Amino acid sequence: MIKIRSKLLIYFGVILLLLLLLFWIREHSNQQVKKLYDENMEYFFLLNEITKETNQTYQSLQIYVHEPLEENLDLYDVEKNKFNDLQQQFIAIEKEGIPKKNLVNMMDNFREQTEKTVKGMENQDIQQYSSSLKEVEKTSSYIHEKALDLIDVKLTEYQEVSYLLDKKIVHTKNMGTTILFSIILLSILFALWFSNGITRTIGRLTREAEEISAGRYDRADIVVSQKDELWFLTKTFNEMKKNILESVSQMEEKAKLAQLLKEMELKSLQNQINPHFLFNTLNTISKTAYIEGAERTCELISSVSTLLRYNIGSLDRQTILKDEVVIVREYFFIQKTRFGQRVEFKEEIDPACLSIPIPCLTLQPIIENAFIHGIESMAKGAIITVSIYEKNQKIWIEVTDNGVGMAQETIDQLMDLREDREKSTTNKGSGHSTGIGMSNVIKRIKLFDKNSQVKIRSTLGEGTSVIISLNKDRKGAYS
Amino acid sequence: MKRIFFYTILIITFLIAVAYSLYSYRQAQIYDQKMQEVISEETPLPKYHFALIGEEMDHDYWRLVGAGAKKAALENDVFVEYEGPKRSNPEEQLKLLDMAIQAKVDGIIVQALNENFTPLINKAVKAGIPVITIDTDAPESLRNAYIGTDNYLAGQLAGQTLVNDTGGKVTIGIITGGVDNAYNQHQLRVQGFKDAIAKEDGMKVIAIDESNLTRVQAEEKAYKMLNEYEDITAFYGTSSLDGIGIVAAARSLNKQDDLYVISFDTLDENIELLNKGDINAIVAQQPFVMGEKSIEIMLNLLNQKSISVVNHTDAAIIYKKDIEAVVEKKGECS
Repeated sequence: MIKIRSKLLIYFGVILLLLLLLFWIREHSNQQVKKLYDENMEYFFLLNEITKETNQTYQSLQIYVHEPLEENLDLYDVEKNKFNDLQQQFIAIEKEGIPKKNLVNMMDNFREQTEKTVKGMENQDIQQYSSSLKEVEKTSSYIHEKALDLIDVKLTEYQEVSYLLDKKIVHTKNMGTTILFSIILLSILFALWFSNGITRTIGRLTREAEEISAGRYDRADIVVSQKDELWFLTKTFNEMKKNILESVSQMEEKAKLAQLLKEMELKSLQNQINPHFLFNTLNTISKTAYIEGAERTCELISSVSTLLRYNIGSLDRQTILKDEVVIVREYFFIQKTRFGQRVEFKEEIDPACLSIPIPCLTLQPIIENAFIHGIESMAKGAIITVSIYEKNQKIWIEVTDNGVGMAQETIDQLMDLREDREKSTTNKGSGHSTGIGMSNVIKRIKLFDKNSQVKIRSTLGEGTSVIISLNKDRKGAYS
Repeated sequence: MKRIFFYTILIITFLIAVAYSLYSYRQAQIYDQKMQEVISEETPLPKYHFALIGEEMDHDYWRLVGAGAKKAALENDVFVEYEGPKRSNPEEQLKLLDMAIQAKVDGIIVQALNENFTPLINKAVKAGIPVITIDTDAPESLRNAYIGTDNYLAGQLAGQTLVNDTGGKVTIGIITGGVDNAYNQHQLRVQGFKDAIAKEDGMKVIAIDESNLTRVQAEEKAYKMLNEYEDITAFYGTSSLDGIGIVAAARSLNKQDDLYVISFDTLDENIELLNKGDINAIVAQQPFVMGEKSIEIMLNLLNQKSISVVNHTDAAIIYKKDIEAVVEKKGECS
């Protein structure tokens, strides 16, 4: 992850480096020009000085020859030393070559001749010193000429060099300008790239936040290509969105469940006109029948009473499978009394499975359904079987009848859990039911235990079986 | 879309700017290198350093001498300083000789134009610098050797040619560089010429005059001669510029077609005139060979090998038909 700070630092570093390069090139170029100029000037001055000093040495010698005084000799010595110094300087500064050799030899010659003149003076050899003096004069003029030649050559060279230098300076200048131009372009590019990277991401985040605040959670995640702080921010934002989405869907589920329960309660209330009164009356009737010796009537009424009590209790209470089975037996008793030999009830129940929790009034509506739609129209030989057993860590509840069966269309309607389907199926209640529809049961089981399964298998004319599987370990209830 | 376009342009401009700055850098480097080369043009000191002092720096003839010398020098690790006055000037030539002595060169090759050169040549030899005279000799000096055309033979050759070409019946005017002692070579050329035509009865030298080695004087003298002696049918010029002067004079008198002109040296102008037919024949010397040989002799001298004191190079006659070969050879040398 490159931090925005690092990016900025790199950018400024690069710009600074380029600027330094620019300044260095300029400075270097300037210094070269100055050095070249200085060197040439020094050279010209030196040659000029040599010419002048040669002349002065000659003149001081001449003065000494004309007036052979000690002080004039000293004067000559001073000039001669200066001349020697200049020669040394020239040897040091001039590059090797024929011109150097020529001039140095001439200067040597000049010195020899002056020495000879001085010696001739000392020996009073007039012939020697006059000829030597003449030679000195000639040599000094030669030195002058050679020095001029050298200056000439150097100037020609300097001209060429300065032409080349001019060209170089032009190119260096061009380079400097283009580097400066590049820096400007680079800055613009970087600024654009950088601000785009930040502003675009922030803009997208802002829009996304607006959408979320408007309640639209189902949008695609924001993707940021550059791994900087904004990338991190975006990632966190996306996670947050996902979390919110999850909690919202959880809340929606809970609300749905609550609504369903309320609806059921309302329906039970509609169906039971003052159920307590009815319940007390039934009890009274039961006791009266018993006193009057009508024992069977008493039993029947007691069953109806139990059924009624179970039904008027709060619908969202939790029960265990055992209670459901008890109620189903009561219901069977009543129906047996009613239908007599036409119908037979079978129970294949594993008592170990009866302790699991289950929403109340689930089993009974299924059996009611079997009665109403399955076997009511059969004259005899109708069988309804309830089997409860354990298999694959699950509790299986199976209600089977051998009635008319259901068309696949009806099964699909029952299994369809959508809201609008509910009404059309539940309003078809008839005299045998306690009023709670099959699809309501299926939904409640699903809401109670997400892993539960409800299946309906049916063949027309042969019968129907409803199979419910519940997690054995489930402790849950309506929470 | 617009943004991408903008970005593309920016990036392309940036790349161009970078490329151009690199290009400029490269160019600056190249010029820098060139500059360094010019500045540090340090010629390593050769084994020997000779001075070649000719009569006239820009003269074709002397340039060829210089070219020959430089060629030989290149082959032998020798540096030759080719010097000479801009225009023929014995005084300056003397000064150059003296300067060469003062500069203590390893050897001097000089044209001894007149006897004023003798003391300086002696001075050089005494100072331990070997001297070779070239083109013009100073036999009385202490010079170590001489190289040049055998002027007497060259004059003879010219005379022979004139006899052969004209059939031996002509009246001759001679323009010579100088007849006094100083211009010894021209004297020899005239002498050789005279000796060659002496046997022929029909050949007669009617006039002889000096051009002092200048074109204008040659023209002036030839003009005078042509006016004075109407019957002149042939001219003999002993110095390189005489032929040009003669032709110019003849042309101004409209006589160029009747005259037979023979002159010296294969200057460009002479060759041109030969090509036109204004000059009939040229006595060609071999300046290039002279220059080349002078260096070889000098090297032999320094290496203490035996040499002959007088060395002659051949002279040859060139006609119009030979021009191509001569021009070609000249092109090679310069």
